[in-house]
Amino acid sequence: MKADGILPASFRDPSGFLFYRDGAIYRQINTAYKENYDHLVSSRLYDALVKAGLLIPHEEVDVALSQSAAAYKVIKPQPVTFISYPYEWSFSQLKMAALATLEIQKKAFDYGMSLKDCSAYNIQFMNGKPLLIDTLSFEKYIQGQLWVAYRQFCQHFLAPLALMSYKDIRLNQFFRIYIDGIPLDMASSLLPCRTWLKPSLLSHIHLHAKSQKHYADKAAVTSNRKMTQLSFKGIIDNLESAIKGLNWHPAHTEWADYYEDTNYSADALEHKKKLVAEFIDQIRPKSVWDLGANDGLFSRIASDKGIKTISFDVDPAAVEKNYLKCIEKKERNILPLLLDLTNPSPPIGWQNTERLSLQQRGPADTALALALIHHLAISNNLPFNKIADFFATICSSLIIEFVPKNDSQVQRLLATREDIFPNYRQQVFESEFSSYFTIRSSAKIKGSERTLYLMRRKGTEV
Amino acid sequence: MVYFINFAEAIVILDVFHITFYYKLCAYLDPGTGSIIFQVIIAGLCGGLLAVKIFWSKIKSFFKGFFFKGNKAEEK
Repeated sequence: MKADGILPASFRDPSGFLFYRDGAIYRQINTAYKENYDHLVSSRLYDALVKAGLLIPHEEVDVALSQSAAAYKVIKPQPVTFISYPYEWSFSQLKMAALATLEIQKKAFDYGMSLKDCSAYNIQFMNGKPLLIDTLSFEKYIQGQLWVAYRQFCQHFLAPLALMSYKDIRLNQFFRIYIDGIPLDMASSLLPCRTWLKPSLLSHIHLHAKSQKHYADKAAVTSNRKMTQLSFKGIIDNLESAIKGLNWHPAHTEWADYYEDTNYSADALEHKKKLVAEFIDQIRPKSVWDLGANDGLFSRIASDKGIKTISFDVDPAAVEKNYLKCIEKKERNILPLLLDLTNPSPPIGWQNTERLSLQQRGPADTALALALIHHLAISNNLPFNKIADFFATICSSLIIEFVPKNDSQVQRLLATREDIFPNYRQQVFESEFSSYFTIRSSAKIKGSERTLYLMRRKGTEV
Repeated sequence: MVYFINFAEAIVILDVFHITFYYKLCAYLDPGTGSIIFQVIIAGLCGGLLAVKIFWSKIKSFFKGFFFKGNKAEEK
């Protein structure tokens, strides 16, 4: 259960903040935001956005729950299953989040409101779709006003998507360094010259960056600047076209075609699926983290049973394929995310408390580690006890596959390096994992040398 | 058709000349001086482009409606 108190990340906006109380999350709305909140509700913008699946639903609760005298109201938003961050999203996830943000802005405009911020962190994926989780992101539109969130939208969405599309898909990792999105001058210098010929990127990134640089050390009066409604809508429309025009097609990567390029026979694959399903049925978890999920083949055994499943992989192409499959099948229980298990998401931001590490967002009821152990132990030189120690921090139950040294996939890893792994043996694996887990079941996967284990973390056995 | 041209021209003209209203920026985020000034610079152009887009979609829907009605009449 989360400790009571204000969330460390909830300090920027004086309109209100999030807090935990008795394990539930609440949002305090301050009196300073009264007029805007009342307009959000009375104009029926809130209803329209919730109906469209673009804004997190909430209920108003007793204001006595508030954390300070500044409170106007307290609301209880629907809990988000798993908080994810833009550096963990695939290209299409960031693109969908950008388009959802612009759609929200367009709808808000129809109801006389506008977004006052455009942080990618305010968007989360719930039931397979991106939605805004910050109910206090709206302000009443005043005739002539500019879009105050313009810079933030370009830094949080347009610049990273352009870099991912035109330069390298891995550049969304800049989000881990720059908490307020990709600096436009850096994006401009990294983007190839041909992007100067794209009017939307020329204006919103290259010239925008020049303008920022030009006025960086100049005191210019901006309070009397204004633009018409049509211009406001024109900027949103132009940004929407720019985002829609950015694409990325996953090429052939190491993992994207993994299941077509493995030594598994069809029978062995089916048997492995059956064993995983049986183990999941035994433990009936509420949440599953599939680590090294590739395109989510085994994650879907859990998610198809209605279990909330996070499908992690290190390969952007695999995550992209997985997410596109989610969209195609309208899946609600699976969330594909990008994660390098050997360097998982750290806590970042002010005092390293604004964005949580992977472990802080756990533990999951069950972790799946299928065809993963050899990559950690051999490719990353991790001893079994360190791997077991890590798994013990992120899950209560573990379904893990042991891949022996004579397996062709392990041989492939050893083909170009010296075998310095005398302890990479099943007996040592069982012994080291037994320090942290109780082995509940194990079964050989037919037609292979591999073994699947069901383990329960010590101290959590029922 | 005259109606469409007048409509589009009117909004472009209104936009280019920026009907002025008093507005004071009050945001908890720093919108950035360079970003604000740049936004004002491109505002007219973006508004104009949107006006053309709206105008064009009206023309398309007018002709779609025209031919659709024509087809219906032929079917009868």
